[in-house]
Amino acid sequence: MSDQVLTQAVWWCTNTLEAGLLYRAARGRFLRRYIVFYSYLAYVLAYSLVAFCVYTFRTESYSRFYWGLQYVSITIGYCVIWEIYRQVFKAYPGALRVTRVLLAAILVFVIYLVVLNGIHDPRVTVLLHHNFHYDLAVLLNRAPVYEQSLRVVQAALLVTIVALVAYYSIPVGRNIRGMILGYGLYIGLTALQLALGSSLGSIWKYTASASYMAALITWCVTLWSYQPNPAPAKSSGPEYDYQTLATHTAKRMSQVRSSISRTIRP
Amino acid sequence: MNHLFVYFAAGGAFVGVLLFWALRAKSPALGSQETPESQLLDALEIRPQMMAHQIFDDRDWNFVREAAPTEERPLFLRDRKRVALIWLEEMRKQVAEVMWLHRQAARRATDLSATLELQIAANYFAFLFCWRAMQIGIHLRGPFGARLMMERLLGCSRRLWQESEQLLASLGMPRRVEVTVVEK
Repeated sequence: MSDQVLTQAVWWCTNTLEAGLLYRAARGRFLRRYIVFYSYLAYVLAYSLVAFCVYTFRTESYSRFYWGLQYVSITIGYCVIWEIYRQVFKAYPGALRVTRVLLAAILVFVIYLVVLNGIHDPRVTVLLHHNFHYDLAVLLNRAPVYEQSLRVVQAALLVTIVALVAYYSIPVGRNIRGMILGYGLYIGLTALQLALGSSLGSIWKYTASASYMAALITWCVTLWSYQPNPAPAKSSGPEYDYQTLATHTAKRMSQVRSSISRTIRP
Repeated sequence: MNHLFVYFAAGGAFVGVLLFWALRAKSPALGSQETPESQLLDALEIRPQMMAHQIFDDRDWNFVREAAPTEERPLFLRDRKRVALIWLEEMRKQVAEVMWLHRQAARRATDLSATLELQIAANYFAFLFCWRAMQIGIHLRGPFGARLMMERLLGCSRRLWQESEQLLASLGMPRRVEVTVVEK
């Protein structure tokens, strides 16, 4: 009984926090500034409420409903990463270009692994034979693995973005920093929970809720008011091309390298 | 059990990195101040080197070993080690300044070449790796003992540099930055 009460309490808490975030953004008139992120939150809230209704009034359909949309829910989390990417590199076209190349490389690599895995996985062959017939048992079996894989990819994308932000010293405001930290906590803890799974015992079923709650609390703190990224200062003086800059930098690096060489081998 | 440990370590590291970054990154850092482009190219100059080759030249050490009293040898080694580390730190600061200015300008460049940028970044990290190895070598073995190790390391980094050039060429990406350094 206490388990059910606790689960219900956590569930209603998360819904309240989501609604609070959406209300606060609408009230503060910055919902449109982060439209992709708030669309994600709105989807999660709507999904939770609809799931509650289905569970209450059509319990026999709940499993099919939940697992059918779970794949969509997991995938739609990429909206948060998209929003972060969009906001951080808006004013930095050079850094944006490098980020795009690295993120594309990660996605291509993932697709390659998926295709390779699909070719060698007998269960995919069985699925193909059944013409992708919606099979609840197969979905139930594969969903945690699918979610874990997606979370790992999300983590890789987020780490790449953070690494480039640090490398280019791009100033990040409180809102975006909160988005990164909150979603990073969520996917990190979720991936851990999926990997450790049954090893955690009865704690397992609460870890997912706790990780999402941690994300929501982080977002409530950092997204309570609109604090965008600082705008870059307007630079004075004539512009020059990147090729000239890169040539000069490479030249200086070579000078240092040869200086060290001469020091070691006079 | 091993894979659980790997997942746990990876997950913990991921969360740790995010927390470290979020708590460390405050509102506008030093890097956000824009440097006028007209000053940038002038600033990308390496300052004249002190007589760096003399720091690692073992002729001084040979002389001290032969001519100086025994009790003065550790003093000589300690002082020479300190000078070597100061020189190394100076090198790092110069390179860091060059790279900082480059990153400040490149992040807003509309005609940036991602390949070239990644190449410059790779070279910078290779330099940092060599620099750190050199620092550890000097700490452990002194400036004269570290020399042989550094020769091998430089040879290795040169091979890596050449291989990355070949790889880029094989991918059809010509090396657009031609650099010549006049050996004195």
